Amino acid sequence: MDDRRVNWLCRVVAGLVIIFLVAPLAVIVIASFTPTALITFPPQGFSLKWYANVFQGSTHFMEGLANSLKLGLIATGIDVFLGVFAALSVCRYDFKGKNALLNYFTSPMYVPSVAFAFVLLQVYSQIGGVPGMARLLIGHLVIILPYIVRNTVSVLHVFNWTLEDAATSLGAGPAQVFFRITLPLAKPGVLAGALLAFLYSFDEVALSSLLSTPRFVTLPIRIMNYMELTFDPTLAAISTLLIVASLVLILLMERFVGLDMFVK
Amino acid sequence: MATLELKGLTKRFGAFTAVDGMDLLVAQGEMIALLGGSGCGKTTTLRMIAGFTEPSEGTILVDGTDVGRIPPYKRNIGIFFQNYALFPHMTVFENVAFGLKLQKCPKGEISRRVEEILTLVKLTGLDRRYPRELSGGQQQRVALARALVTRPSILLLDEPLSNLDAKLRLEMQVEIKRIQRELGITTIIVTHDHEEAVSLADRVIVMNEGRILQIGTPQEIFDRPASPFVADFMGFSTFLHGRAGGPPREGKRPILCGERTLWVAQAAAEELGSDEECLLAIRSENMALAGEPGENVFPGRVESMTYKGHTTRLEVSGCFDEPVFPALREIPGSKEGDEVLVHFPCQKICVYKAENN
Amino acid sequence: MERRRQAALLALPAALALLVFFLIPMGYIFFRTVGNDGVADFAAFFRDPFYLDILWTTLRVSLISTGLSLVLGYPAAYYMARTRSRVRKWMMIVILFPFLVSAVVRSYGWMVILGANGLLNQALMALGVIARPLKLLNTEGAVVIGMIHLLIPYMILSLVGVLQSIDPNVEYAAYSLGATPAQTFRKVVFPLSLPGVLSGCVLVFTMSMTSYVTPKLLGGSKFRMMATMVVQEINVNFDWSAASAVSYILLGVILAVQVVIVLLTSGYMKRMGGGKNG
Repeated sequence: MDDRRVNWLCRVVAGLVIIFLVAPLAVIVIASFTPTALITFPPQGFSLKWYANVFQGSTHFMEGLANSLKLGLIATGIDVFLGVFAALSVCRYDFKGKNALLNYFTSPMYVPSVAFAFVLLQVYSQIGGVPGMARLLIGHLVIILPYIVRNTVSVLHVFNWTLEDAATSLGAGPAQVFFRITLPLAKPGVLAGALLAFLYSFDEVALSSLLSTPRFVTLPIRIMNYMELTFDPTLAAISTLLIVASLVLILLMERFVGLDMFVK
Repeated sequence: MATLELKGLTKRFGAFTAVDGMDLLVAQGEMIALLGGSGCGKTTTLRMIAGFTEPSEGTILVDGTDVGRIPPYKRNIGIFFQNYALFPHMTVFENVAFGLKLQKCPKGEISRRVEEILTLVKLTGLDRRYPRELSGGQQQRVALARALVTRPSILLLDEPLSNLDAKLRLEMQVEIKRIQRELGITTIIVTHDHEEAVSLADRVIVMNEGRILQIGTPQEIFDRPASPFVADFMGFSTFLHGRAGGPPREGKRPILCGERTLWVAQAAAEELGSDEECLLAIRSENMALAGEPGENVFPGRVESMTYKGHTTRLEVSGCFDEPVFPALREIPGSKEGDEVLVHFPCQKICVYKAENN
Repeated sequence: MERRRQAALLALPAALALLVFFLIPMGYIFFRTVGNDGVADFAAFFRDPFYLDILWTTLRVSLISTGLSLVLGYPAAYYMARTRSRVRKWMMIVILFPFLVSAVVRSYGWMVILGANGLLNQALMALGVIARPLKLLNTEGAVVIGMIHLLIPYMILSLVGVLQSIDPNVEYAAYSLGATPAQTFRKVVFPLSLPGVLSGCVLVFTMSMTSYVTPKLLGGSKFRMMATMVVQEINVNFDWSAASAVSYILLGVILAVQVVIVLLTSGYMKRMGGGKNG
């Protein structure tokens, strides 16, 4: 059918978009194996020395990674509790102003993180004595909460609440209902939200640029600082490691919860 | 208003053959029903005629012209979708006027023709509503009006009545038939409901696994299904295994079913050799309870009774090896566990060779 | 009443956390800024061509990035929404995968490609198209490319959802009534996908207005957008009053865009609300 021309156009654009999306990442992976400090294409030879460099103390990459992981995991861990309870409160019960409450929970999304970071900076300078990690943690707790709330709500929104009644009628207590029925069914939304929240925290730069102290620096800031001083393939090596981690993560997600959660 | 001819129409999806070498000639103004279960290829056939799906093999001729290379938007074929597929962002008027606007009709003519067709489907006064503000039956009539207003040469209806409740369904059956007659439009209706097919169509085509099993008038299909499969699909409830026995007598042939001898019409058993295994089929409503023993009357025990409103359906065992399911118009005096006599009218029994099964 | 108390109890921790760590600081600093002659700072912003230029650059880059993301993302999303599930699954993986990779890493990839000694310049010189490296990096173009790369997955994901929910039969119905593919798109598919187009555009526009990493890494030190300006005022110029003016104006623009979009679309959304697609 004549539809084919449309189909063909869409397919070509889709292909180009995919190439566009993947190309910079592919370039990084290839560049990470060049033996020379100047990245040339095609690479002249093969070397793993930049990977060795990543793990050297002088780059502080591993220390940054540990900080970023710690920050991301703690913030996400706390917010999963806050967010899932918050989502339950606005989905499970019917009351006036529940939309306003939901908007309140997601409001940090509408505030530029740079503006919020600056506000926190001013508050900290007034109070004084807030330690390095807490300075960032408070900011991250706020900015990633909306992701968890929104993704959990999107599942609970279409949740069949009579299942809870059914479980109760079969003799399950409130806790059993929550852990055996509600939570397992809401799991894809909670997981997708937690993943997005963690990644947002892990990648966050604007807050960290303003709030981090020399004692607590996250990985993205370490990479950016390194970039300003030395532009060698060590950057490609650490980037490749992050790319591979993302790829593994996405394949695991696809395998265990499916990716449809990300389609709005 | 056109003739439609399918020649060796075939559609394969990978290893799966959805439609397998279909041949069909539809006369001008005729109404044809494609009848079959889900996955029988009826909807794929419809989509190929409309041009949404390309045939793997075969040709589609409209008025003798091959339309294979013509894109769907130039075929002038009206189509009614099972889920109506109304444009949700347009009013009833805009939905119906859509095709006319594309044909660059003058404004005055558009409103006149839309009004005309809305009157025909009894939807006047609703033209400013959006589809979601209408009931199912109203949406369905909008879809019908939208498909008809451009005066297509062929009208395709995909399960037009399946989403409606019983009362509305009956009303719309009459309506569709009336409109189709009035406009004299060549129509193909796809359905899985045999009652819908026989009450609407001039000819019924029974399909299974991409092939045509039987073509005939509603009467033929309803009373004389060509195979046990078609019989089952047409609502025959009672199937009996038997064997041809003895010489014919007075236009009847005896069939041995276990201990009993059942007489069937000679014409129905023409193809049966002597002693050949066979399968008999009979509709529920063609069996009746008898007052006294006689030809084709056998005793049995009522296992269960289900009241169905205008009929009562019994399950009776003991007449033959298989249970039989008579449906009675009047409520019988007997109850579950009672012995009854069941009459099997010999003219109403269909006979098939056993290997056909 | 019992249920009300349960709801309140569940909502309380998150509500309290946001109140203490978000609402109170935002409000406190806002009123303090206004109290400390902040209004004069806002006025100064709008009188200074330097700042106005930054605001205009930010708006321009964001609008171009949003427009291009839509133009490129729409066909890709349409293809995804209508293709077989296996192809769709792999496209999902390929689109979501860069989406998970840090913005710093993705910008770095473009630096390797677009730099003076980058892949593109090397290739063009090897082919003899150019004699000397072109300045590709540290330009507005580089920022737009990086921005689209960063944000087009959001656009595609917003669009795939609505496009999937459009009944394919509605498109077939349009064909059968004589609409060409182009007419079907203009009169049926696009209007029905508007909710996704809008949410995608608002999302991409907002994120590019506030983005920090991409303009900083791909735009170079002389290229300024609102977010990079805030950090520069604080970390380089130590001018906190200018920083607060810039950050509140950025916040204001974003909230204004949200409000305008909500007002513009509420009528249409209401009309489409619960619309029966099939």
